[in-house]
Amino acid sequence: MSSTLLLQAGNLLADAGMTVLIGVVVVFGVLLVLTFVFWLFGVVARAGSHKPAATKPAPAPKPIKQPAPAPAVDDGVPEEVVAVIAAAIAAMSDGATRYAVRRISPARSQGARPVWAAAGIADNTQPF
Amino acid sequence: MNLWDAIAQIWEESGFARLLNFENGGWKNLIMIGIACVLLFLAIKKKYEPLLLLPIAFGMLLVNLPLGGVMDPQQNSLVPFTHEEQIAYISGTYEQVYPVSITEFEIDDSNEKNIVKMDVNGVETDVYKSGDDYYKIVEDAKGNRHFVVPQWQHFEQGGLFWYLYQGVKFGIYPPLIFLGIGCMTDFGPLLSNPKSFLLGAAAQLGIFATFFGASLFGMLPFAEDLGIAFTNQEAASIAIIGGADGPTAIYLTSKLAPHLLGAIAVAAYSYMALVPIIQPPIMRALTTKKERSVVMTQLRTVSKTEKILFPIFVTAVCVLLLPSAAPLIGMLMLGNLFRESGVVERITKTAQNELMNIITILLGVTVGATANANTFLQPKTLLIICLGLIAFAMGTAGGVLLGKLMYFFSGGKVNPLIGSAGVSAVPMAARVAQKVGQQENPSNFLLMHAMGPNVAGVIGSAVAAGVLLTLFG
Repeated sequence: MSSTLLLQAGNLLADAGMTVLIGVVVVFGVLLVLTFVFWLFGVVARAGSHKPAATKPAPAPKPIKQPAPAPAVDDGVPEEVVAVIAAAIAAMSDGATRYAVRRISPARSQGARPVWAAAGIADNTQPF
Repeated sequence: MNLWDAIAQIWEESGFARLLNFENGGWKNLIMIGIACVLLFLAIKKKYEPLLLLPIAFGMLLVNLPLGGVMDPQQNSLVPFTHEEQIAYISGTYEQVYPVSITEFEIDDSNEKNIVKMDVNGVETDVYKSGDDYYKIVEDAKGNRHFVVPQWQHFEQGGLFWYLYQGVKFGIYPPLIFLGIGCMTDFGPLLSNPKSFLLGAAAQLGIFATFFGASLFGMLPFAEDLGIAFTNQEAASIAIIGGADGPTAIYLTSKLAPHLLGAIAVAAYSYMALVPIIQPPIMRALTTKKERSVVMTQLRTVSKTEKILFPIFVTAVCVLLLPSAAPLIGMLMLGNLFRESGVVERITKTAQNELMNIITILLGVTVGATANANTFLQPKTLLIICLGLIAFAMGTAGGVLLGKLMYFFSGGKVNPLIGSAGVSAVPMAARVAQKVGQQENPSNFLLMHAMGPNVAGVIGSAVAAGVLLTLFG
């Protein structure tokens, strides 16, 4: 390889490397600033809602002895639905009580309308 | 003309004849139609990002049917007046058919000899003669004389998609999509755990690593011959696939390398659809069973005030630091402010439903229509698809590795799997983190923890696009 080609390759590497460096520094810099700003938000929000006399220390959550078995999921129930149900239960949990989902199956009895179809019909017909 | 001649003529003028004319490149169109059909199959049967893949594939199909002309640009041209029209123009009796473009040329000592007398409506009038043509002479306010050359402004109408494509070309559709995304996104998980911003930043490492890799192709001795020596603009457009954010990829590519738009859009949306297949092996390879089993503590509740202030602060910080990211970040945050303010419910509903759907249709079909045979069937396209996959994988790895670092420094309180959600792909990447985490510990719920890095990734990829736009725009 001639020295000109080597020089060109070196310049190419240097330019690309500099772009990567600038890009990474700027992206991390901007998001670091945002992290700091919203961390401050959190500090202020916690300080504002702090009530020293009235609050009791929250009971420590019981250690998890062993993972619960995965719930039985009927065929045709999408993973998204399982994830949403699980997340909703977790969000409602106060940390002290543990819930177990044993089974997830579509609420559809013989002759009845699927629940989403019923919701859709209700949504469309309510104004009338 | 007999019946057979008529049939032969109709056949020769049909798209079928062009399609089957292999010497003239008809085979390329056939291949593109095949690719469009495969994408339609993936969208309809496999449900891979159907909302965008379906219109993209159909746009691709339509533009590759010869003679359809849906993507033909509008042709503007100036047609000189005929001799009779010039005479009529001088005498003021011409009939305007199209808009007239007027060009004036000054008359000085060098061309004054071309002024002749002409009988115009019975009056001897000075006119300028050039060859067989006569032009009207006018005087300006200073008394300088000019001769006037009128021309008809003629234009041929372009194809439907060409007009719709202007919304991509001028960078209008992607920010409008971001408006809708902002209306649909809850940044609460990010606010309750601001460290997630850093995971969103780490997942953008794939973009810059791929930019570096794509730039190096220019060093290969045969790169020029194969057309794979990427310019900085092309390398940046390819690299942004790693952000796993379709509108951002389209926005940046339409600004930097519009000729690659079709290939990059197809690669970006295909990989976003394949997140559940691409990410889990990388996540498992980079983490231990113990790390994947970490149960994270519940997120704090975020007040409405914080949620309202969030879009205002993010817009101010990002736009002041990186002005080129203003259209994407600004619209994303405007949409979020609509949502969180709670006072413009009608606008919020429109932006996240009707407007979003309309723009999705326009964006999809026009981006698909840029994938014509001549621009798509090149070695570059294959390379773009490979580099896109690398960008995606490295972005995932970047997020997980920073997650591991957080796991280490937090004393095992952070599950590194949530880092993988730092690539945008909302909410698919967060669902993948939830799924992989639950495979190790069925009682673990990582979804809301992963949503933090996931939405931070949207901001991160817009910031990364802003950096690339500033450097190469």
